[in-house]
Amino acid sequence: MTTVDPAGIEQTAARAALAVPGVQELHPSLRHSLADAATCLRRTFGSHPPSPEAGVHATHTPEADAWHLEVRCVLTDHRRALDTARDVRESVRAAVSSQLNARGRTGNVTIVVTVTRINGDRTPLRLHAAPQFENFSPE
Amino acid sequence: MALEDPRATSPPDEVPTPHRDTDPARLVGDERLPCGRLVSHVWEQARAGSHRPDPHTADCTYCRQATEGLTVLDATTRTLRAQRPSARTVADRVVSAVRAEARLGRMLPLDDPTQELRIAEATVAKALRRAADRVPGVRAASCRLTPGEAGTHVTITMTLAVTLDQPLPGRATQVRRAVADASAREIGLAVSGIDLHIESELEPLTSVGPTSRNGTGP
Repeated sequence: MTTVDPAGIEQTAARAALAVPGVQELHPSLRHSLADAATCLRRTFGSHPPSPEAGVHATHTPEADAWHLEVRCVLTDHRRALDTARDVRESVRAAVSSQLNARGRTGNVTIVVTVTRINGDRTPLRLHAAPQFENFSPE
Repeated sequence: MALEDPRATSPPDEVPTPHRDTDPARLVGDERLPCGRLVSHVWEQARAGSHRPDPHTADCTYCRQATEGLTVLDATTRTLRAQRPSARTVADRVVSAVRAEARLGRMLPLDDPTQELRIAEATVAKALRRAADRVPGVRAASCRLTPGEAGTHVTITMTLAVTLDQPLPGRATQVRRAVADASAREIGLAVSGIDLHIESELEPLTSVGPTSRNGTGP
């Protein structure tokens, strides 16, 4: 049985989540956003966009050998959010469990999937379906 | 970065006095490369550029690698010197990050028995407002979502502005149907109730010709 690095788990989970249809990107956690805000290097050189792992937070409870992962996703609107979130959970669970099993770990894995945004290209709002609203301006 | 690119390094005749402590060659000291050359000497050669071509440097892998590394370091130092953020800038960025997080609102449960799937309130509200707006003569002013104490059900509360050219009950029914449909088909939210508050009247506008909504018409 070997030790498992949370960073490796996060990387595995990020890859699995991004492979799910309907997932556009992963949303960095607040701690990553704050770390990014505190350093100007990334923005100054523009060469290192936030890594997908920034959208995954993995914690390990050694006593129970249990893993808890939170995955924050930005979705497209081509699928129902619930269906995409379920697929993300199952995809991440399968990938992480496989990685843990390969290292002789059999602990429990819980995965919370949070949808932070849905980006879409649905037909924009049209208020002038009735003739009297043809010139209505929503602003 | 190419060694012979004169723009890649600091101009050789530039007076570096105010920033001598950030000169890349000074940072590495007088280390000697495997080829025997001093790093500082190689850097001086690079800064001289095409004015004083050196056959050894052009052919030596060690000198070339050192020059390329120092060139990147030089450019990096200059960029940081020019764009060094003030404490105020950093504070603004931190506040922006926190505000962006706060704008997500509370996390609501999606309709899954495990309660491990969540969605940001702001995201749901945006989708449901858009659904209400699809009903002719209706504009959603606000949308709040309240999760139940147990389970995954959520109560939706919307305030609307509507035209008064049709009976309100019928229009409210249309809005409820649109919102419920979006909750189920677009989001996957378990809705326990939809409360609608009509708080203002939309003026039905009469058509005055081909004027477009963005003002590009005559």
